[in-house]
Amino acid sequence: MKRVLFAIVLFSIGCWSGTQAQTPIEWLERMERAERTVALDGVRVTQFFLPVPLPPVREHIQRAGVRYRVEYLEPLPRRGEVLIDDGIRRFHYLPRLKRVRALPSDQPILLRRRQALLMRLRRREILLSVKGSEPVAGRRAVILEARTPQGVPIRRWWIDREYGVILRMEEMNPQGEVRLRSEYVRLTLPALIPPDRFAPNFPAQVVKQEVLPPSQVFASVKEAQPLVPFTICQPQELPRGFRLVEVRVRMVRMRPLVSLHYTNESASLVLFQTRLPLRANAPLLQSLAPLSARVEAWRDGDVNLVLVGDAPAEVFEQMRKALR
Amino acid sequence: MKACRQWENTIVEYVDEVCEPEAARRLEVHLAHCEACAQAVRQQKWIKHALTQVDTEHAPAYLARRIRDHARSALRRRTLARLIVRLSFAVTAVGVAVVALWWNASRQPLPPAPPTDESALAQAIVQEYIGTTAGEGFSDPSLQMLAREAQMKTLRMEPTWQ
Repeated sequence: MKRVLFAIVLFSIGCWSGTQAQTPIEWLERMERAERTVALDGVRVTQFFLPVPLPPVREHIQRAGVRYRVEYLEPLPRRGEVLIDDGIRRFHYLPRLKRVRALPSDQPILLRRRQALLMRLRRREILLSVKGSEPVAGRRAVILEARTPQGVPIRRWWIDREYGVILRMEEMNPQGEVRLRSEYVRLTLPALIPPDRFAPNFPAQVVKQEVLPPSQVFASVKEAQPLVPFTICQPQELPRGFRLVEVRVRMVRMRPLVSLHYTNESASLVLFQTRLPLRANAPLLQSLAPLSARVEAWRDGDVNLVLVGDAPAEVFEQMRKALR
Repeated sequence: MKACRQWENTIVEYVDEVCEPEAARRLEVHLAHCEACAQAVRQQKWIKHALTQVDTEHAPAYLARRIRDHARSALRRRTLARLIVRLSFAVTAVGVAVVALWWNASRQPLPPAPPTDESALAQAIVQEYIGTTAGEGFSDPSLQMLAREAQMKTLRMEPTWQ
């Protein structure tokens, strides 16, 4: 009897230490692995709150590693839509239009962004902490919070203790207000999903439409430069906390539009460069105001530069100085 | 004696002095050896001369006034009737056009005007900006698409499909 009790105590201590001994970064790494490997079947509700709350979107998600099948249940106008993504190709079925849009999957880009975020966390450029635990969809979850060095919360994740998948996620704006919440309200973990659920099989009468991505994405300026007839301008130094996420090249009226995308995980800043003429007060650019985006444009030789982002005014000023 | 059939029209034009010079010269050559046609010319010239000599008969003043008044009122009535018909046509056409436009607008939005260089560039910038900021960090393909759509909705733009 004593031996049995001793074994139970040992097992309990082992389980407790198994969850408690993990550091925040270990939780995040586990979450990253789970997002690429675990199979699940559940219903998720996502809502965007800023600048105004939008109707919640309810999705039936079936996932096995990088293969996704998402069936939209709400709001009513998009009920019946299906998204299938196998990590290489994406198919978006729109029953109202009797159309399937086929395009390359952007999961490689998302994976690269996740890895960059992890690297910054490891370098402690973003602070991560465990904020307790809470049940989500009937499962035990650990709450992880990412903050800027100034202490502004960026994101919160509710991670399943057993499998490491994200059960709930909140994303904040630079002011720390929640702008997105996404959570499972029903979940089967792990799930056995027949492989044909991820096959792009749609009704015979639908029209398949190939959609090419409008821009090419590169990890660095060096990779993008051969596509551009002018020297891509880069800041001599970046505002504190900002990093280059990616470089994009898009053709507009047969001329390249280069965009350098920077973030500090809380705010974003995009530097556009082109030889096409553009004014900072172009009506369409001013329409970015609802997203709290600032726009500044100036000319350097025969290249027009436009800086767009929701970063503070002093960051814009630093960036402009660094570009001179 | 009848004039030659092929010269009848030319003779009329010749007498009225509206004949082409070349046709007139050719007719004169013909008249030199065709008595029938020469006689037809003489007759028509005489008739023309005689008509110019006839005195003009003037209607009495009261009759002329009545005729003038009658003609004027008839003209006014006709003009008014035409105006009413035209107006009713125009009103009907405008009504049909308005109903057609309303029906079309309620069915689908009007096609956008072709973008200028600047608006095409501005549109591309907005799309690129949204494409990056939407769904950063740990997100999946659906979440990223929803984030982009939410931003497009906030900007009241049509969603893009990248």
